[in-house]
Amino acid sequence: MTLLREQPPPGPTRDSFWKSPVRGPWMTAILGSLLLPLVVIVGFTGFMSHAAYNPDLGSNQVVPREGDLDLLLFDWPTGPTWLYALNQGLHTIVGIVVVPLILAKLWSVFPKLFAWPPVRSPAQALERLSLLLLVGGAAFMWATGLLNMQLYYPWSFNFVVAHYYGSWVFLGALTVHVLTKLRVVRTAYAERGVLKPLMDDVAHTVPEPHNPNGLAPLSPGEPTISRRGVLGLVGAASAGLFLVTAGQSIGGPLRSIAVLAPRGRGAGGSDQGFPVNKTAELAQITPAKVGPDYRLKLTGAASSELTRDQLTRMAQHTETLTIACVEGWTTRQTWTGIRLMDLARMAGIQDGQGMQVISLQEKGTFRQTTLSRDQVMNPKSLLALQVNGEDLSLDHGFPARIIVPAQPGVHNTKWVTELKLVDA
Amino acid sequence: MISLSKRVYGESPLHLLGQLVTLAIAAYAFLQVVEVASTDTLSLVIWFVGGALLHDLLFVPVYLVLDLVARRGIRDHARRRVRAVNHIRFPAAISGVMFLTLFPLILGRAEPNYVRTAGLQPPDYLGRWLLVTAAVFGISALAYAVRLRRAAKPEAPVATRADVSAV
Ligand code: HEM
Repeated sequence: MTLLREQPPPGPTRDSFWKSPVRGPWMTAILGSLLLPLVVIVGFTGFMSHAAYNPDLGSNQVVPREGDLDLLLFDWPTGPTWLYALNQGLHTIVGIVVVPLILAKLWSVFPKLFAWPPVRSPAQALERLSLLLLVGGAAFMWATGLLNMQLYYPWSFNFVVAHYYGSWVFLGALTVHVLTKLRVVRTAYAERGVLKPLMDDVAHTVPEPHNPNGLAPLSPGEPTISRRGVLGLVGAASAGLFLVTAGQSIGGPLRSIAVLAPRGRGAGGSDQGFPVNKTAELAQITPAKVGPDYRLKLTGAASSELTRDQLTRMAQHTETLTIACVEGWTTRQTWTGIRLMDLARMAGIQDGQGMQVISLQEKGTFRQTTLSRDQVMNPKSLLALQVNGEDLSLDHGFPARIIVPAQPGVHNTKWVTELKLVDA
Repeated sequence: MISLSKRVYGESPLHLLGQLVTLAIAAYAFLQVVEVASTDTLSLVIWFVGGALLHDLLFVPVYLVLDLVARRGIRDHARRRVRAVNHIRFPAAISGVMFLTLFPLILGRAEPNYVRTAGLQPPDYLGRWLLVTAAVFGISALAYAVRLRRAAKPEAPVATRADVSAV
């Protein structure tokens, strides 16, 4: 053991192997400081999205819970109408543009992977184990999130469950990591200034002083890039990602340059000019099911059955509302239909009741959802029959679909066959 | 107490508690996922550990070697103070990170899923990524040319420093 300590084998375990003149505690500190707020945004919006599904109602929950974490839950609000679009826009856009920063942060600490001896103390052994959870957790969260957004699922576990609990592992490890490294950050800023190293151009870029087992190089090479150049490189890669993806969430002119987004340029509307995320074919909705025999069942204290003709003769309301997908894309359209409130009253809604919405779709997690009382009684919540003045197409949910402000897109159930008042 | 902990454990007791919190949360979360019937534990572990291994043993070595090759292989203009290698690094980072982040879309890995859920054929993402790549390298080349010209003008910052041609 002492022999190992004195003589690391040639290669990356030797301090002299690492030459980058811009690597050092300050570089790691600034990259970490930029990373932290962005990761907090991604984590926070992730948990908000979990809450937005109102998992405590009916069979809404996708992640099995033991009921001990209900403290984290609240009734998801019904406004502003773009609330969920904002939440998921932030979650996915920040999640994407932070990738170069994570890679740079890991580059900045890479020599530590080869620290010699590999285990110096029990403390270091434990810390390396938690670092595996941190790095593995980051890789897991970003890989699953990014692939899911691209409709690619090359794994054998439930994405939602694994992504949710993966965030516990990652955020737990990150919290402890940041607390453990605060002292390094503070020392680096105290010694070099928070932003002062950014003033130097390449010619004036001087390596940070080397310490044994530290990140600053023992025998630095000639600088080829300044420290601000490194941040510029990260920023340029992030900006590139932003430009080619963010438009699918933000819309406007950005949508036309979102060339590498699943729902960006030229990938929006196959049908009625806006995206479909579950075709009628996939949901096995046949024209026969939505033909003259179609009835909407209203179930409550006063149950009834309505034909589509009867529905069109009820009071119609028009609202412009956003559909925002958990995967980040959004679309804002003008919907016309019957207020859920009116249907709920017709069925005799009582205090403490919400509404279970059931689709003609026979299989699948989202063939049904339960809406909270607030969602049902919000005057903007509709059972929509039309979009932009035309009847819904079959892919968009003909004969009737739900549209509730600010809720996750997948809860705006299509091909509705039954509205059932339930305790919620 | 603290000095004992430093001697035996190697850090303060607070450090120990922090690590134990991390490990306990991870173990709890792991059990929650494993309990779900559809979970294939092996797949879960492979994805968790595989990402870190892939990053540390493949991605980083590959880009460090590429960077080394670029630094060694590209000579700066003898007298004009512009670092050519950064005009490769920038577009390569932009295009490379884009590929790493969006490869399933670019390579059409989920095309059948895409067609089934969206009801339309995906655009030619590979072609688009190649065009974006061409554009960023092109812009970088242009910027390099402009900077070289500027550096050639007499009022450009003194290009006589010893360290300039050495890099
Ligand atoms: C995705 C999130 C992050 C990952 C995967 C990550 C990973 C790592 C790893 C693997 C190390 C090497 C530790 C060792 O072996 O000693 C490290 C060190 C460090 N990290 Fe992070 N980190 C992350 C976020 C952060 C954040 C947000 C901060 C800042 C507040 C930060 C600050 C530091 C510092 C100061 C060091 C020590 C550098 C030194 O020893 O000189 N990290 N990080």
